[in-house]
Amino acid sequence: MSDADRVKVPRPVARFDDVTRRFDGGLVALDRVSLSVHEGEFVSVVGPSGCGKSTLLSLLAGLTAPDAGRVWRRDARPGEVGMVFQEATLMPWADVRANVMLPLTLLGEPRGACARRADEALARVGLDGFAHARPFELSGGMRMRAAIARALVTRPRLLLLDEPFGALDEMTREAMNDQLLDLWASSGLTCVFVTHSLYEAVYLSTRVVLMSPRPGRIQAEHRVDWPYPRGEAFRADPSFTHLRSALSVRLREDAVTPEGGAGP
Amino acid sequence: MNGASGRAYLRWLAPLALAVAVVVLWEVLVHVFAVPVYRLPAPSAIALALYDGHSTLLESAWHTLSLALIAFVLAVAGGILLAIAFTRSRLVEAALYPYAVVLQVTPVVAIAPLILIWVGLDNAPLAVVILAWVVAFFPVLSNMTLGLRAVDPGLRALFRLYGAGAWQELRLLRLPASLPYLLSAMKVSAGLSLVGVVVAEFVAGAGTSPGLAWRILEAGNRLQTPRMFAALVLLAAIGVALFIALSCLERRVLSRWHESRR
Ligand SMILES: Nc1ncnc2c1ncn2[C@@H]1O[C@H](COP(=O)(O)OP(=O)(O)OP(=O)(O)O)[C@@H](O)[C@H]1O
Ligand SMILES: [Mg+2]
Repeated sequence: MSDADRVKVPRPVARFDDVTRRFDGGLVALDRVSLSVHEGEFVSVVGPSGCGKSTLLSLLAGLTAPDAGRVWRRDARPGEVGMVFQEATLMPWADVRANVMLPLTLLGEPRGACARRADEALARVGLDGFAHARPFELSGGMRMRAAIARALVTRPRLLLLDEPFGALDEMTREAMNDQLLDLWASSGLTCVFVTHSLYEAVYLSTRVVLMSPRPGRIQAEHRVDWPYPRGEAFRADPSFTHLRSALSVRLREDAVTPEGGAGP
Repeated sequence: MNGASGRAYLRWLAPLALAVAVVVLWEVLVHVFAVPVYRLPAPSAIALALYDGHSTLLESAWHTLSLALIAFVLAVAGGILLAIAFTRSRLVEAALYPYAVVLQVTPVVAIAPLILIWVGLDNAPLAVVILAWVVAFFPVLSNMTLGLRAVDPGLRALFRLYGAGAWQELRLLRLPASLPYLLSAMKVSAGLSLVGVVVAEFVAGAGTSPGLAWRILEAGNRLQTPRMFAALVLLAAIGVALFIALSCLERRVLSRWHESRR
């Protein structure tokens, strides 16, 4: 646990109790998943493709309902949760500012205030000056940052990110990781971050959640005790490499477990 | 850029060059083989007929065009509204869609006399508009329904995340997303409304309608073939003008939205 967490009693912002989610055809995307997320945490969810990470996020966001179990979220009003989808999902017909202010528009905020707050959010992700660009005029990384600005524009308490940097090159990715950490540290956000990359997960998180597929389950959780701001010192530290390879072994162990072999 | 503009150039130049070649060849052949004018007039004779009869012909062209435009506007409006109703309610769609199809597959010529009886023989222009509407509205309906449904699921999830209502989703998401579908349907529909008006005028408008179709029939009965061709040229010109206008509109709107439009 980091120092900040130790001082105050962590308050939960979201909790899963034995949550099961099935899809048509009997596929069990999540099987009795229990998980708590506390205020100020940065939780990464890592696991192989198809293990139910996106499903977990959309349950957290309240976009889908569980088939069994209970999903609880402290901040349940629209605008209190921000979400960054696996693709940037910008409206191609609208400019960047209109895209970023969409959540405020939908919440019925006055127009002038919307535009101002959209510009603030754009500045926070380093996209000032692109308010009038069209999505197709942006690079992949810039589109993602616009999507993050859109998720931040309502000043959410909880930010959900679904592999936001999966399609980016390593250098851009590391820069975006640091930007995201700055945002998180400066705004008292709670983040749940889905990724394929253990490197990214360990670098960013206060806690890493490992998932296993078919059926989707939480396999292990690890705290990452390294003070923020992290930066190169952490990336170069042996404990970083050590934790990363330990988690990688856990993930791989699980991948070779025969189907149905994992008992309750 | 150079290649693209070169190709755009070609798109105008190639059909134009072909038209000039055909007209010249036509003129020459008609004279060489001394084809009787009532069978196939030379382009020069057609031009002359167009010039001589320009006041009546243009008036008829305007009449036909205005009926086609009215039918077109109503078809677009009706198609959009019905498509919205379809996407709002599966029940409405299930109930109405088969009739839309029936209306679409039944030849206009066959229902023209019936419509004419219903609206009254002295109301021929109304009958013409109704018939043209029947022909023109289906592409708008089917494309628009498709467009309203083909919305990025991610964007829909986003709208749901912020508690968007059905009206917000329609106005801010579904309508803009379906605009490309609507615009391509409009191109088809404009042509069809012109066809519909002409067919309906043939059937319904004899004697009562001053449209181009009636000019063609009239000239045909009098064996004034050049005048028939002159009316045909005007009809084709109207059709091409509508198509070009809508293509320009489509390009203008979509170029601001999508990179993928060439
Ligand atoms: N709408 C849906 N209908 C049916 N099956 C679905 C649906 N969404 C997801 N699934 C299935 O549920 C499982 C989990 O999907 P999910 O998208 O949560 O995986 P993921 O961990 O996010 O994978 P990835 O890393 O590739 O994004 C997959 O096997 C997928 O096929
Ligand atoms: Mg996913």
